[in-house]
Amino acid sequence: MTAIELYGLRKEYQDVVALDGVDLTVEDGEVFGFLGPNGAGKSTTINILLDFVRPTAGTAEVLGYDAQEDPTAIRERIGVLPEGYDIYERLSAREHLEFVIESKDADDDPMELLERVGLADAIDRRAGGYSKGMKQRLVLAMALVDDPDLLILDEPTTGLDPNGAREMRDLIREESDRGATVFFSSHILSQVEAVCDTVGILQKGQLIAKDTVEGLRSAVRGGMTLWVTLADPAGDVSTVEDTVEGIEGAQITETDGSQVAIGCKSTQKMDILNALNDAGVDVANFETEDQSLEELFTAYTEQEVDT
Amino acid sequence: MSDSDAGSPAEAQLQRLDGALHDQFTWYPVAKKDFKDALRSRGLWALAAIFTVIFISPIAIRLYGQGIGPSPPDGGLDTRFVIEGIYLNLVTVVLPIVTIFVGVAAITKEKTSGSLKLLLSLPFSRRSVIVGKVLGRCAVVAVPFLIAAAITAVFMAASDLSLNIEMYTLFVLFSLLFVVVMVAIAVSISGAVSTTLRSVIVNAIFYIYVTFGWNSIANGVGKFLYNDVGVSRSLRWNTVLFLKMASPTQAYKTLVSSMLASFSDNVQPGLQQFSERWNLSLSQLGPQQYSRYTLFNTQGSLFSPGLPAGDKRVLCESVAGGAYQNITLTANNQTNSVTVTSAEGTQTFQNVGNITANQTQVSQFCTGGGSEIPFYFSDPAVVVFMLGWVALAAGLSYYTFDLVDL
Repeated sequence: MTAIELYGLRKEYQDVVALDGVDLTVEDGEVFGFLGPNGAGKSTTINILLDFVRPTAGTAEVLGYDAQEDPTAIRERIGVLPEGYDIYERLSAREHLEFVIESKDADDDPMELLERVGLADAIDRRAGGYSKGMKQRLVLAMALVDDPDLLILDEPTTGLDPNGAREMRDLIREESDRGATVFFSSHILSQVEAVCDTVGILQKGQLIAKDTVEGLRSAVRGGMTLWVTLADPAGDVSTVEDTVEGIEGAQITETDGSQVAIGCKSTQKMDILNALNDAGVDVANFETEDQSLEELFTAYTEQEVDT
Repeated sequence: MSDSDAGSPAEAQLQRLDGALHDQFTWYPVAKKDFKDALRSRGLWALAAIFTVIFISPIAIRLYGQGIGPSPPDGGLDTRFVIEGIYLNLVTVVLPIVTIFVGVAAITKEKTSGSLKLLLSLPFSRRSVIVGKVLGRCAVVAVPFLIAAAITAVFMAASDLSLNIEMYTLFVLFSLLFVVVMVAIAVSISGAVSTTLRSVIVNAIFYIYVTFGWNSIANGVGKFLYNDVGVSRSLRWNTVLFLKMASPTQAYKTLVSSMLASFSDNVQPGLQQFSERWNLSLSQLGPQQYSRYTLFNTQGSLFSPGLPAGDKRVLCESVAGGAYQNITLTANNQTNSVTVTSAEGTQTFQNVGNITANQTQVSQFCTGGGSEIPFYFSDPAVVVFMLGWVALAAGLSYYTFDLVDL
């Protein structure tokens, strides 16, 4: 049984392609981290899973139901922390939870849920006066109603302080231990790394990597960055680009004045330097650096990750 | 709060109802939450106070405020006069403003704030959200309306006015139907657009058009068809009435005036004087026929002579289904008698006074005894017209809210 199954998912808005043929499987019971820079298409994917948005092509299945055909059957069994939500200002935390409990025909105790997210002392206060972090906790408590089979959390740690972020991770672990599948998106690698079994990296609407955290680490272990300083950057940069492009497994990750960073396997260092020499590039100096998972993510997504 | 051990039997009953509604309707939690939210805002109580003031003050001024406002009509105030002469116009102008106020941001506010995402991550279909919103907001208008109507009824009963409780209750019920229709329209517009400002604009255009523009456009279409296209008078007036009925405001007014007409004799003022003078027993128009016929300027007024006889005849016979009668008075000064000739026979009256000359006078009246009112103008059809607006609102929501990306 798979929790989430995407086949060739594509979403076009008027002039942009938000998702460009995404295939993805999230197994039952997995904690899946959905990584990517802002604007990569993470929220679009989640919006399709929740039937807020209809795909241009392809299908999405959640818990065995088609997301577009059977949205309410899916929503009976999932808990959601959407992105860009707002709470009802005039209702208290208790009333919010009572509303969710009634909608889902559940019999949870609002107090217990709020204790789990650390909001028990604000239970009867109007939610309009809550801070961003408190609202986040309230919506998380709402997502936990009726022990959902799948939790979909869109950027769950935004708005939380480091302590709150840690509590969020603990909660994700608890839910996973109970047997729930957790699908959460983030643009911050460290938060995904800490709790996820599997990570998928989305970039410009395409899934560019999907592996276990371990698998990604070992893929990285053999990798390095080769910094090459050019004697004549103006004349040679394009030649370097052409040459590196022709070598499998190597790519330029950064260009900084006369320095060019080339991501490659550690065994490829001499091949690249020789190839550059053959192409007539004057290499003044070179250095090597081991790659971390963070750099891999950065390299994959080629974008500044703002935290 | 709502604990499972209910104190009184009434409370237990309320909880059973709550449970039953919950099991039966997927939209119910949405409506309940919406209503609860409104209860908190105090706007509900302000609305009840406003309704009470605008219901009571026009009667109070007529009854007790001599000299500062319109005085009561001859024969004193009765329920029919209050409803027909005061409330009907008040409700059709004020109630849509209230329903728009209550419904205009029902969906747009949740869209722009993002709470719609929370709502739709729960097991509600989009249709349930719209239906729940419409019914929740209906309750937000209906509850203060009913409170005000009850207070007004108590005031009327305590005052010099003779309160016909049955007539008054029916009026309140028809007004609630009107509320449902208008809220459905306001909420569906709110679901169709992206921001509250746009919703306000579209709702305002709709309000002005329906409340103030619709009738003149219906009449204009009729005139155009008759003068420029050359259709028959019958088709002209049937079309005009049909267009008028299509307006939710006019449909509501028509239902209420039919209802009012069913309570008493419906002789047009001129006809009444005439029949009393000559002791004639002419059959009357039915309540539905009467309310359709008098919807048009068939009586004339201080400011306008009324429609030409040819149009009146068509309105009477082919639109309202009545009989348009020529009644001839022939005065004879030799025999000192007056002969009245109608479709129902001839009567001669002797010694009616000093008759100085022989003369003949022909008067025309719309009376009963024709066919029935056509089914497409009958009250059930008008109810269908009103529900058609709900269907239209549902259709609009389906294409602009159910099917689209949020």
